[in-house]
Amino acid sequence: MDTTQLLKGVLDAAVLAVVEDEDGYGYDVVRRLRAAGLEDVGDASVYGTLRRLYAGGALTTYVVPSDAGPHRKYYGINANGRAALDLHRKEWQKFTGTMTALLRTGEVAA
Amino acid sequence: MPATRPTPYAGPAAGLAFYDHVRAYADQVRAHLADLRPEQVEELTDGLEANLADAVVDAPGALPRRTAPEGQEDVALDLTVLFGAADRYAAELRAAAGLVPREAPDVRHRPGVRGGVRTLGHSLAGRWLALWRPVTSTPQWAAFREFCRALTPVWWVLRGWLAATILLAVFGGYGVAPLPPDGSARLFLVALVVVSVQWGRGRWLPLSWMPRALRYASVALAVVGLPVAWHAAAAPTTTASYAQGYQQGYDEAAGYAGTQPVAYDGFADPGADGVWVDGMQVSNLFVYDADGDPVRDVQVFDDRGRPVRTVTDDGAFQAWSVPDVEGAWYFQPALAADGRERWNVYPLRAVDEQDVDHPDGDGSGEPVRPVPATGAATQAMPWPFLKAPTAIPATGPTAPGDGGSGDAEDTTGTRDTTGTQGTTGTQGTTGTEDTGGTGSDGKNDPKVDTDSEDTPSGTAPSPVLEADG
Repeated sequence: MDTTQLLKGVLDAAVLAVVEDEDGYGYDVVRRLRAAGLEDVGDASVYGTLRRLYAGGALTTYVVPSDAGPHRKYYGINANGRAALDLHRKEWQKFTGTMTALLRTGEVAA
Repeated sequence: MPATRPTPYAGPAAGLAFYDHVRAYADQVRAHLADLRPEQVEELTDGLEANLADAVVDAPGALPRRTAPEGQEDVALDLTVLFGAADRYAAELRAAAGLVPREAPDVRHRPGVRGGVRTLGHSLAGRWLALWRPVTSTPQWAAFREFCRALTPVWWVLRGWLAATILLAVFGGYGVAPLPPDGSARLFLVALVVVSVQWGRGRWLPLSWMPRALRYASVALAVVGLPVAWHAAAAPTTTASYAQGYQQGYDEAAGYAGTQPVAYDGFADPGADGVWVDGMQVSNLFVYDADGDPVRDVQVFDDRGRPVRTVTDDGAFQAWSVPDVEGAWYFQPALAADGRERWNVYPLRAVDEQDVDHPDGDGSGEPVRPVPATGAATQAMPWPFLKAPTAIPATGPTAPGDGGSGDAEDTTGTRDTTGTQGTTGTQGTTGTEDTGGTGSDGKNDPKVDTDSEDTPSGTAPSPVLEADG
């Protein structure tokens, strides 16, 4: 199974989840996702997703200057984002429940 | 609850040169987003340098670094090894951000033969268009284009006709004609025209690649097919078969196209001159008497008293191919006692192409027809058969419905008239006497004139024949 295709569908939820507790800048978010086990996630995909979530009103953003190099753009979750994340969680539970049951049945049948 | 503030990242320890590479890559990515609005680009790539730099520092093993030869701090970084080509990176960025993809970004920016050709094509097309701008920018040109656009449906119909004509010619052996000779071919033609028009209207093209393929095929058809069809239609043989079609009916015309005409190179104008039988031009006539024996030196006239000529004035300049005989032949007329040429005396004799002389002319400017070279003689052409298959009783009433048939026996003594008079009572009288009577032409003429005036039956058939024609 192509996990990158699966990832596309759930990237919004994953990004929201990793900034829920702590704000992060672009590569920071990538690093957290990879640390959580999504090694295949693409840098640019995450940055684009962050921008889209921000444009959709789910994230806030601010810039932090850096002495040593270019400034970083941090993203933080807001109330809309949390609501969206809750919805994602419920849908995911339901979906995975369905899929798990479906695949378990298949396993027995096989 | 607000999230905890992150601790500021210290940044990579590398020197400032390191950021130059990162900045250069980020600028390339921005260049591939140039079609977006500036604020969109800013939103997408704000902080991109920091992200790139941290990613580089995070993955040192994946990054080829080589120290400059002089031992300077500058390092050559190939960021595409880590991040991929800038255009791909930009495409991924904009796709994830939910922005419209740039039109064919991969092809346009990927180096390669195809991209190179495309770029070259765009450049040449641009220069070509610029060259014509003085013309194409005028209002007259705009009006002309508008006019041409109004004619587009005409091209749709023509395209269908062209495709059908080419297919019929290649696979069906049909000639080029505005309308094919038989019904099934016409049905085929109509079907293709309908399909072509529907395609022109954007219908009946279910697959996404079909409009583009249709465009290429249409251009190819216009560039190649149109001139070929035009040329084929203008070629003399096909014109002959087509014009012949009007006379002989379409079916005969189709048959004619497949057979070899007697005319050597087919320049004779069909239906205008000469003698034609079943759509084929006749080069020579052979007469048999009532017993089926061949008759030589027979004068042939039509019902109006005009000499029947198989070889016209043009045909005399032309080499003919003759059935069952090798080579090409120039026909020669018989010479009357007064020295005049008589082309209606059959069978005609001919000279082989090898033995013919092409006189330069007598200075009058009139072309002189080929004549036998000095020492060469005309030759008799072979008879189709030694004896006609059917012998005809000389005394029978063989001209039914003819006003003159009753006179047939009366005129046996004045048989000479029948030679010139044509249809009235010909068969019965000529059969018996002509074998020996060919020399009697001279004394015929005065009689003929008087006879034809006296007997209205000689002119009676004319209106009937005209009605038939």
